[in-house]
Parts: sequence; structure tokens; C-alpha cells
Amino acid sequence: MPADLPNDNPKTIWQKQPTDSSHMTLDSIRKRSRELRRKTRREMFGSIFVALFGVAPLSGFGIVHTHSIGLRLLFGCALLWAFAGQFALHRKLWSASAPGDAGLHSGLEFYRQELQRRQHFFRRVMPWSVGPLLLSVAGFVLQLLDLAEAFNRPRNSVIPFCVLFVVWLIAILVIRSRSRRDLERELAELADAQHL
Amino acid sequence: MGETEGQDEKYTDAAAKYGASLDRLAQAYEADAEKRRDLTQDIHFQLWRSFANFDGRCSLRTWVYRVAHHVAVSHVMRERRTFSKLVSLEELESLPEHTATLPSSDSQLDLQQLAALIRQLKPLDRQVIVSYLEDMDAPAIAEITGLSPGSVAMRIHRIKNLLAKRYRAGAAYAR
Repeated sequence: MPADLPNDNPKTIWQKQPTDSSHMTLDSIRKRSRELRRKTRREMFGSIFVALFGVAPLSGFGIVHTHSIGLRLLFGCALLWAFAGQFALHRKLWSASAPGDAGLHSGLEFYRQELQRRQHFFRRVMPWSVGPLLLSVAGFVLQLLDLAEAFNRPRNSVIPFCVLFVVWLIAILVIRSRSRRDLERELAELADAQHL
Repeated sequence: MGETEGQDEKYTDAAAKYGASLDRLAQAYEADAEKRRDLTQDIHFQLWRSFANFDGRCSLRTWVYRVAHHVAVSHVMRERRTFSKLVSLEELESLPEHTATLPSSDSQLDLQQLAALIRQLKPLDRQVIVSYLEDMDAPAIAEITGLSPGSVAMRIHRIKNLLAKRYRAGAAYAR
């Protein structure tokens, strides 16, 4: 078996590969440190903007155009829930440990922690991110029904919108549950590997 | 982030000793040249950062490889949102051989095939195979990965089998 590898060929191929000799200087490292902080901030604000992109316009439109106090309250709750959700989802990002802080951890420990962090994040996404969106869409549908009634249009004219939304929601749920299963399988494999 | 005394010196020393190995390690995690350059820079940055906490409880080599693999694993997790397409060594053994067969007449092609084979693996198996290719023994790999030396030895045995199988298939194809 190993004798079939003349002169440990794969090791030779691997170790003789050309490498980039231009390593980072200490100045460029400090510059990268500043860039990294800026990038993290940009990414966080970007993801908050995207997450609020669905809820804020719907709720804003609803609050401005409805005369019903109940609906206004509902849209207000959805907005508050969405902002609180973004805070809850991203709070830990600021304090998340960087790979460079985990030199005492073995590869197995670090990988497990990363998987658990991601699992934890997935668990919170549904109530904190999809939840407010569901509430604002429900309010929007109620408002459309009101409008249909006010303009003597059939109530079932909102059905295409509802169908599209349900299809989108089912797709999200399927993707999320697949990712969750992947994570669980990966964690179970790591637990097995540790006990070998 | 505060800088501790000696952090710069420790990093400079580590980069001089292991710089080339870290470049090769990045090759095992990222195929795209541009992204690989970013990954390598990230590894160096995190390594420099890590020396604020380095207290000599493990060897410099173990520390450097741990940090480098951590950064690379985070990179893989960011880039691939699902792990279902990565395989374990056991699964890779049962895959058809036509995807990567060593050797060819071109050493650059051999390297590309070897790297492609490694990039199909799940993170822990990838750490074992990269460390093996860097000529580390089972106890050293166990210290980096956190697997037991027995488990590492078993994985190395599989890696050797797998590479020998690919090598034989490549040699037969070349004839």
C-alpha cells in the first residue's frame, strides 16, 4: 500500500508546490486589522438593512395608509419586533471570538463551536427575523382586504399575493430545515470522531 | 485590541518558519487564486493577533497550524453554506477515481488534482491530510486536531490507501 507511492510522491508534489513568498509586513497587518473592523461594521449594517427591507416598507406603508388603529398597532409591533430581532441576532457578533483567539483550542473543538454558533443563529432567525415579516405581511393582507372592500373589488383578488408569499415561506422553511439537518449530522459525526 | 510585548517578534519568527506551509495550507482550502490570497492574508493577520495570547503551553508549530486551520475552516463555513457536498475520507475512498488520478506527466496537474481531492474533504479530514503531507507524525497531528492518536493513525492509513489507489489508477491511465 504505502510502498505503491514511490518516494512518497504526494508529499513531494505537495511540498514542492510554488508558494507566494511576499508575506505581510507588520504595517500591512495593522492596516488589515483596521480594514477588518470596518468590514465587520459594514457587513452588520448591510445585513440589518436587508433584514428590515421587507418589514419596514410594508409596515411604513401600512401605518401611513390605514385608518384602523388595530392595524396601525399591528404594523408598529412588527417594526419594533424587527428592530429588536436585529439587535438580538447581531448582539453576539461583536463579541464573537476570532479564529486568532482560539489557538488553545484543537481543530475539533473550534469546528464544533463554529457549528454550534451557526446552529444557535439558525434557531433565532425564525422568531426574530421571519416572525416580524410574517406579522407585517399579515397586516398588509388585512389592509388589502379592506381596500378591496372599499373599492368594491372581489376579496379574492389578494389570493395571488398570498400564494406567492406562502410559496416563498415554504421554500425558506425547507432550506432552513435542510441546513439544520446538515449541522446536526455534522455535529453527530464530530461527537463520534471524538470518541474513537 | 492591545498589542503585547514580543507579539511582532513572535509573528515574524513564525512567518519566517512556516510561511511556505501556510501558503500550501491555503491551497488545501481555496481553489480560487484571488480568494486564496485573501485567505492567506487573513491567516497571517489572525496569527499575528493570536500571539497576544500565546503562552507556550503548546509548541509554536502546533499553535501556528491550529490558528491557520481555524481561519481556513471559518472561511470554508462562510463560503459554503452547506456541508452536504463535502465528504469524509471513508466516503472519498468509495468515489469514482476519474476525478483525480495521480500521476500525470505534468507535475502542476498532479498538484491541482491533489489539491482538488483534498478540497472535497470535510474540515477535520482535511486537517489530517494536510498535516500528513507536511510530514507530521500522528501525535503531532492529534495535538492540532484534537483527535486521538489512534484515530489519526487510522485516518493516515486511509489517506495512504486512497493516494496509492489514485496513484495506481493514474499510472495505469498514463500507460
